[in-house]
Amino acid sequence: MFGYVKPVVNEMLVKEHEFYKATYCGICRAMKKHTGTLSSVTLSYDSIFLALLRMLYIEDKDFSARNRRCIAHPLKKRPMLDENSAIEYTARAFAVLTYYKLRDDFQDERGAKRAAVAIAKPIAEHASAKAELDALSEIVSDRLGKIDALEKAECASVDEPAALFGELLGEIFAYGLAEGERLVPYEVGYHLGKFIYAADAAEDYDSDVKKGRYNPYALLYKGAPLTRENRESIKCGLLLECKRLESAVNLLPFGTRATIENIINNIIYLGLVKRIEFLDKNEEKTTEVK
Amino acid sequence: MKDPYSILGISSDATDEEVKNAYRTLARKYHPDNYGDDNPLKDLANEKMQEINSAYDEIQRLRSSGGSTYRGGGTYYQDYSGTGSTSGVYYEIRRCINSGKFHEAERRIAEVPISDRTAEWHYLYSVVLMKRGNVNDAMRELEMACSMEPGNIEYQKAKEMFNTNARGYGSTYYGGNNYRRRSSSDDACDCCMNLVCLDCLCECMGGDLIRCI
Repeated sequence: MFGYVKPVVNEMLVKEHEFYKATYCGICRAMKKHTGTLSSVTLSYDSIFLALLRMLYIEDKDFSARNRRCIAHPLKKRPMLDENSAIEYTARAFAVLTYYKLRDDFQDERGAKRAAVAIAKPIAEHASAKAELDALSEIVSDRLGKIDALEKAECASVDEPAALFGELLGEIFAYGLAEGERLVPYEVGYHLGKFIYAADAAEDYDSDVKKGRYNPYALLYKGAPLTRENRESIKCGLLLECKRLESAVNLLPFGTRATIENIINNIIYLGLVKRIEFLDKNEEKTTEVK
Repeated sequence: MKDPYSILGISSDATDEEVKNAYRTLARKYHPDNYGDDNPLKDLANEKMQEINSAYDEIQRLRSSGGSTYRGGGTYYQDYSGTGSTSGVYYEIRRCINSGKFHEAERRIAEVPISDRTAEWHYLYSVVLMKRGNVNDAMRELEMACSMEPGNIEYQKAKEMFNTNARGYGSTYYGGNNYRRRSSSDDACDCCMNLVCLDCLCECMGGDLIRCI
């Protein structure tokens, strides 16, 4: 999901950060086990959010971790979360998502990036097949195909393709849950997906214009450099999307798992806002130390 | 029924003020205003709201010390009859929006030929898009309306309203819930300050609490 769904680490408690990292290692281990050893190289931090959200829907409240060694970090043992159904599902679902995303990129990219995608694609394809989530694969492939069609038709709306990506993520978040539990995770995924698509388009605006590629914002702003007002307007739209996301997050089964809940809140309320800070800056990026 | 205190996320020895604050925070969080008519989560939020309301009533009954019972704020209503057209197609569209017929409004909006699309058209389209959850496109249309007619107060007001709404993002997170908020008495600085003050008071009376200051 393009590095959008991350916490602001310096606002986390140490135990929350440790749990966060242990979850990542847990997913990585599960990927090696279920979708092939090599598939774990495609894993991104975004997957942790899905695992955490799905862990809220597991009855058992205790998640155990053990210190283990792995190939990437052979010198020091690290705490890794033991596998549970949420982690296993996340590993499989991300294998599917990664493959279809790569397949999509392969058609769009040129040059060095295309070569990199070409190397990763067969690994991802193998992993996706091993994930054994056929119904989900179909949905992912269908929605990405529809987005592609809209982009080719130079769709002037931001929300139309964004809604398709929202549906895709919503299905991933809700897949396999009981009928009565589906709605809230679906809505969380839906608005998160819409946010990611729109934010991504806003971030790529300059480079897309330069390369003459499709960008939904370019049709409004006619490829001219964005003024401060344009940026504010885009940001306002994105934050309003966040408000809808918030209304769904408020209905997640919170109340008993403080560590997980705090990490989710951090990602939603701090991480996403931080991620669109590029809209506040007109000139080069500066890092601020507080 | 579940323990009303746990529903409000407080302990049973909370003060009346704390009960009230917890109720207010939660009521703001699940208030119907946050879940528009098109939001599929509306019913769930409603249930939650009822649960909170009855928990609060239950606590009030248990404590039954009288006093006022506070209930969530008034409903919010935006009138789109506005300062714009008083006749013609835009007037009809405004009427549709005001009576909640967004699909009809959208249909009428789409029927306006492209050459006739004024700033007001973009504004009304923006309102409908916002109602339907297409927030990004709504902002785009509103910006268009504002740039076509920069002096229009109605459009500026709408923009301000959306901006205020957007800035409210995360307010329940920072303000309300118990996420890592410290009461001021836990603060080390406060503690020192209190000691210093106490020492001053003692010195005024001729005594001394802390000799070195």
